[in-house]
Amino acid sequence: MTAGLGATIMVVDDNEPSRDALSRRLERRGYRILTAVDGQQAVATGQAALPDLILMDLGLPGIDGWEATRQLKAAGATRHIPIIVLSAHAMTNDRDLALAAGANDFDTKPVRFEQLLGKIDMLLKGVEVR
Amino acid sequence: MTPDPMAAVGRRANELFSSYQRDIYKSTDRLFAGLMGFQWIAGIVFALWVSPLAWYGAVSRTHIHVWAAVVVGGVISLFPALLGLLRPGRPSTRYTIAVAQMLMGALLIHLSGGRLETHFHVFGSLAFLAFYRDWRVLIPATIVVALDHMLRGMFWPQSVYGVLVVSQWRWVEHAAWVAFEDVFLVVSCLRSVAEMRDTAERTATLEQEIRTRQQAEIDARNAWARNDGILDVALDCVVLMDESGRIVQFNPAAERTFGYAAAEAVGTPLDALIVPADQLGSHREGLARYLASGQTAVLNRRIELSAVRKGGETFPVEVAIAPISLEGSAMFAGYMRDITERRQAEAALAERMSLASLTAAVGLALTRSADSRTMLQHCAEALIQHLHGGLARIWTLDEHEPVLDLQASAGQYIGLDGPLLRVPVGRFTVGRIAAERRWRLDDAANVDPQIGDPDWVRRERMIAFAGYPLLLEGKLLGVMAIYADHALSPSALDAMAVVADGIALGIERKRAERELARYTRDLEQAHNTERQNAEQLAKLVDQLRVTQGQAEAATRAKSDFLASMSHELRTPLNAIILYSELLQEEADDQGRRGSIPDLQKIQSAGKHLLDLINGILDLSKIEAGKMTLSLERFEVRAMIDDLLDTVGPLIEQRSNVLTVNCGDEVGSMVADFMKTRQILLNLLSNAGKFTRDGAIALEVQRVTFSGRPCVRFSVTDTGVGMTPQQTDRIFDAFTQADVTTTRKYGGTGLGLAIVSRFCQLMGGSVSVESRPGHGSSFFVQLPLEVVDEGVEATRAAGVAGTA
Repeated sequence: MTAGLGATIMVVDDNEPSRDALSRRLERRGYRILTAVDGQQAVATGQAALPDLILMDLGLPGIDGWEATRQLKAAGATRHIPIIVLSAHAMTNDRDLALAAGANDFDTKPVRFEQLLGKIDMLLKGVEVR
Repeated sequence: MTPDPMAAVGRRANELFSSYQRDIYKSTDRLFAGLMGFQWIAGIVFALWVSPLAWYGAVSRTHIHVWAAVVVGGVISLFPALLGLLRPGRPSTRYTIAVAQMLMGALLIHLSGGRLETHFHVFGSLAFLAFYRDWRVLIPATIVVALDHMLRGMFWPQSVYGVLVVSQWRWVEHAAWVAFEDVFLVVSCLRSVAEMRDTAERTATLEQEIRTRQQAEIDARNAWARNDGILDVALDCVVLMDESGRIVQFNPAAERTFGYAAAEAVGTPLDALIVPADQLGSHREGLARYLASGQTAVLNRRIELSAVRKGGETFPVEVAIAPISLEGSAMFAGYMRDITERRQAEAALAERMSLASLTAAVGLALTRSADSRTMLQHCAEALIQHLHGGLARIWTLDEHEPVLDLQASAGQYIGLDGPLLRVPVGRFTVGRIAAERRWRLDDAANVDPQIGDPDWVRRERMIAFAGYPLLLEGKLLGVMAIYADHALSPSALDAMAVVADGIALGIERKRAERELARYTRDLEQAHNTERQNAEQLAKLVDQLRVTQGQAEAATRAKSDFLASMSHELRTPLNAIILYSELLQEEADDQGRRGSIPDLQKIQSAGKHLLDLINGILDLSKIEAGKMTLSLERFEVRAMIDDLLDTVGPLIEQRSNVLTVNCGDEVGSMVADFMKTRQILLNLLSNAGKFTRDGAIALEVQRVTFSGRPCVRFSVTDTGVGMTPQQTDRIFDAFTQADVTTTRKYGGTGLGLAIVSRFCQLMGGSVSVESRPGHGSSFFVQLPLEVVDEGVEATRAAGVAGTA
């Protein structure tokens, strides 16, 4: 996928296998990957490295995914970075909460990879998907 | 009447006086008019007689005096004579006549040659002028005489005194004589005028007196007429009586009331005519006492007495007697009114009052008395008190045998005597009333042989007996009876009939109350039992409620458990699926294709597990009432196009052909996009799953269902189909057509259950038509505009769905 070439995506997930599998699959598609294992790290890395897009898990230790999303969207430097929230909570109103926190899109885990790629592509092109 | 009769009399006197004066002036003027003519002619005759001719030698001519008598006499007398005839009564006429009269005298004196005798004409003239009774006319007359004598005495004495030479003062002597006469004439005039005024005043006074007297007569006549009129139309009898007690006047009302004509009555002694015999003594005594002392109890007051009509009928009258004092005698005016009707009305009113009191007392007894016996006793006492009865009794019918039990007795006969305590129906008057069920009135109770105690009836002089059966809707309850020492009026009998009805009702009510009390007791017992049952039931309900709460809590706990379980399952599943896909990609890259099918099986198993988790989660959400609708408007066609991208490969896997029929007229709908999509996805993937080498059709139409616009989705396949037994259970969770289906066709068995729940959530429905071997048709109907009926409705739908 040429669209992903050169773009940097930060994968935030406390679950190592999930983080690893998703990161590797994205790398195979030509994206550069940053990772973060909790909310605090996600905010710090995000502000330091300024990735082109962030995939944010919600159930994180310490600062959770909503709070991290809020902080990133509140800071001037990172405000513009698109964030797709990924949640394993299919039952709660995570989607609404994530969008309220400032996330640009939402998807459930397990990830339907092709669908996710489509959303990433759109957001990187500057199209709001929601 | 003038306000001041004296002033009126004065005015009238002046009027009369002026009129007298005017009359005298006028008649005297006319007298002088004649006198003037006469004097003129007399003067001519006198001249002809004294000196008819004037001789001049032998020649004679008519003497100049004759001409003078004609001409001068005419000149002097004609004008005043005309004035006297044409304008009599005026002062100017009088004064002119006075002057002319004196001039005429002067002429006569001249014609007589101044002879003294003719001077007496002057005195006569003055006396004539005094006829005027106006002394002022003497003044010009006197002045004329004086001037005439003075001037002629000076210049022509022969003419006045008959001598050629005369004393210069001779006129004074004549004037003095004239003045002398004037004095008498003036006095005479003044006296005459005074008399005349006196007469006028007396006449005026007389007239006034006459008028007053006439008016008094008219007034008196009117008064009589008025009085007669009043007496004639008076509603009261008015009878005038003189001192001796004889009737003087008898008005029409008295004629009508007493039956005597006025002609018969007048002159008859009053007491003999209308005073009843038993009041004669007091009547005569009262009259005598008044005449002697002027005192009486009767006069000037209204009292009620008896009077007698012609024919002897005595009736009540209201009487007022007023004495009328006349000079030397007295009269009495008696005003009488027949008050028979008033008395009757009063009596009727009194009776109505006592009957009303009776009804009230009975009503009170019926409503307030605690028990039946007290109630009946009060009723009997009320009958005695308000009907002035001698004895009142009430019996009630024994409930078991035809005997009347005496319950209440009031009046003179207090004791409850032997045979009348229990009266068999049919015996005595009371028993007969009960047997015949008819009320009975006996006006001659004292001679009735059926009476229970005839001795008592005779002793107490009871006259009337009235008895009433106490009936309620034809059922005999007892008998009420009363004795009275006076006749009972029809209205009293009517009132008693009403009282009898009331007492019957009261007895029945008391009986009903006793029954009611018994029923109430029974009911209370039943109620107590019922209450115990109800308490047990309430306990059960409470337990049930607790159980239900526990069940709901359990449902929630299950839902929560599933939610967290789902999360815990999804995380590893996420890794499994991602890794299996990653490994496939890598194997493909590296040419290790042999491992790919195995990796696909891992991926497929993972996805199946995910579907299962998602399905369970959806149903759990619906059950727990946590499934909410997210309504939006979307184009149906676009939704289907999007759907086909996903479902197309599934259908084509088994070499099926999919046809879609969705016209542009379907347009847009308002619904939960994801759930609608899920419904169609489940149906289409099902169709694909159970059909091989066949045709699958999706048709979308707008329809009207139950009166509202809907969108109808039909999914038809040519697959394996189902038996009716299978279709019955197709929408239940974890059910496929048979237990082997899952094994054979895969799937979670939750797809159609979710379809059904989602349809219900959105206010729609799903149905199926199928035959084994001939494929299946699923029909989904959703409202064109779905309304979110809230969490409760959703929950109800969910519970219904699981039931």
